[in-house]
Amino acid sequence: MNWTDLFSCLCLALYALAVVASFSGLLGRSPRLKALACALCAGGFAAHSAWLAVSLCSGAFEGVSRGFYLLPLAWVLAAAGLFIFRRQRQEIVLHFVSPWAFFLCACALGFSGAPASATVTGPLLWLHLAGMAVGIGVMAVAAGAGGMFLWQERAIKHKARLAGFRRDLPALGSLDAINSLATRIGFPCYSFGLLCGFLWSRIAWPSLMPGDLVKSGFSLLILLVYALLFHQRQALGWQGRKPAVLALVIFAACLVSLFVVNTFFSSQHGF
Amino acid sequence: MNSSISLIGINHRTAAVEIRERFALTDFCAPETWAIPRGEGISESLILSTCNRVEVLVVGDGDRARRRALECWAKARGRTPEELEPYLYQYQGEEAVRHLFSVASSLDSLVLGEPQILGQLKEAYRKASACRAAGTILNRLLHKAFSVAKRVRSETGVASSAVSISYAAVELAKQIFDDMSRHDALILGAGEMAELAAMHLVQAGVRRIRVVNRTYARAEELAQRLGGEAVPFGQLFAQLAETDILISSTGAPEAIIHEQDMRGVLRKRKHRPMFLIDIAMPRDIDPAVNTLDNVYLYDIDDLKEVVEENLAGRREEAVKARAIVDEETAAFLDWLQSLTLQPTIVALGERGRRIVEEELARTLRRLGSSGPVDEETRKALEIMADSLVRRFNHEPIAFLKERFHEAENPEYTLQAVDTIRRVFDLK
Repeated sequence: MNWTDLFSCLCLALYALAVVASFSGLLGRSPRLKALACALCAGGFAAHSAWLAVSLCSGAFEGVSRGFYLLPLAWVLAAAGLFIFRRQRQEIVLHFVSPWAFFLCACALGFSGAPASATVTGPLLWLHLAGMAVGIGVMAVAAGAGGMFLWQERAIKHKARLAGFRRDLPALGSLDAINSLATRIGFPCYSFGLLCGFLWSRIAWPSLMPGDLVKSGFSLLILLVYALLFHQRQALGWQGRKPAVLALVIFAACLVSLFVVNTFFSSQHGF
Repeated sequence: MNSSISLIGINHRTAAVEIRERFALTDFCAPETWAIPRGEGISESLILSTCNRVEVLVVGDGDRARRRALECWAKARGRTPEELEPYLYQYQGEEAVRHLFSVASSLDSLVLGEPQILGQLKEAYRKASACRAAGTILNRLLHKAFSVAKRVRSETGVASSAVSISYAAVELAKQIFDDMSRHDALILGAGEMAELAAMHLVQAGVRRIRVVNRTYARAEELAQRLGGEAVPFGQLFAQLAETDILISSTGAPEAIIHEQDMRGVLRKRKHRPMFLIDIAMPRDIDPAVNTLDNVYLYDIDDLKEVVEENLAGRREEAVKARAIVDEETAAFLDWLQSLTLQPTIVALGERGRRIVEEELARTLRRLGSSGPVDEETRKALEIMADSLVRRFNHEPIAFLKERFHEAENPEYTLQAVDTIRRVFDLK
């Protein structure tokens, strides 16, 4: 077993335990289990960082493959979760970050053997990848908060009983604040990442494949919805339901772009 | 010496308010007026007298102490025990301990899980201590009662949800707004219920509170009581644009705030969420307002439903709480049992035997490393270790027996047994 295997196993195990502790803590309304879930998630993130570092050192990222971008994406998502957890003092963020981090890491491990279809060259590609990872990662957090907001808001609006672990969920205002912070960070990063991607494609790609237009169109569509959310929040002070719905739409579109467009359309992203 | 625990009392279930008033002992809890004097079978006592219950807890000679406590209580109020007995509940030993723990945990309260009773019990204990009426057993019993109450509150949801309309409204506001200190409230109308809810909001830490009423003077009066500001009725909609929480309870015959009005208000406040609590009858706010995005409207019936659900939830949690009370009652009774002389002497002897066995085994192992230990040496070592422990135990056992025969002061015996158990860590 080499270092990469060791850290990948450790990372997956810690994230998986964090997921179990999160669910048990939430359903059982146990503060101890919830705190344990947060600690396990932080531990998983540390192992994840080590996994990423040894992968970089071992040259695993010299070629573009699906494992190549899912691993950093999951890392950014976990980092965003930990950052927002510290900043907003809301442990709920980590309860929906852990399952996603586990899922993406498991996918990254599954695709790690896929052959690289392109070589990683130039700072523009790195900036593109970093920007997109942050933009999508924080939107995953915003979508989690948004989904929870809509669920809880519906209960309050329709005067349903807030029983069980619903009582322990943060106030609607706190969930909205998570969404707001994620949008403020995510939109500039996503826009910048997309711009770098377009510039890099003009420089590096010899010709466009048929699926590239679909991928570009999809990314621009996501950017438009992202821009709408950012603008309405910053300029018009939107709060509540609409931003929550838009965050879910953006994140769902990102998943479609990553897993459907990349898989079913032959493009430069089809690795 | 006898140290059995007895409890006699009346409460909201056994006696009407006028009976409770007639037998209240609120004025008999000071050192100079303490209603239950020591002696004649009573060694310790505690009086708990609140609006919903009057209870006397005594430690002493079983039934004799209980009867004496009843006589003293009736006498203090200028009545006879016969007048008091029809309303009385009486518990002895385990039942008395269980009842006290249930009272402390608010399982016997009029409103299940209400927090005041624990404070009242602490105050009663403080007074009993000041009157030197509480001794070894009551000290331990009351501290145990406080820890049981704490455990019940932290491990069950028996006190976790609001069970009054006004408090339920504030709890709901906390589910909507993250930090109350960043939100403003407006009170429309100067009704009693609105004032109560506003008080809870102030306690929850709202940033600013304003009062609107058709009669400006009444608005000013209420605003002063709440530490807020009064606003003329004509400015209602302008003020609503800056309001996050509205409590409305006017006597208006029909709705004052309509959906159309609220659309304008929401536009002005950039659709920031609003929580509207309409506790007026007839209602002040058109129910259609609740269809607007980011507006949460609750009327009196909605809040009553929340309260009913919360009460049902508390009743479910009370089952768990009673299990905790049973467990802690058994633990306390074990301790109480240990205070009698015989188990303590036996425990001291067992502890000595354990030490002899451990130390003998260690010594024989050490001696065995340099050659086999013959039977004679082993026997001699055993006798020496045994007599050492016997001699060490002699003084504490003699001390206990001496105290036990000082029957005129049983409190000293209890203290002695408790001290010996603590010093020698006897479980």
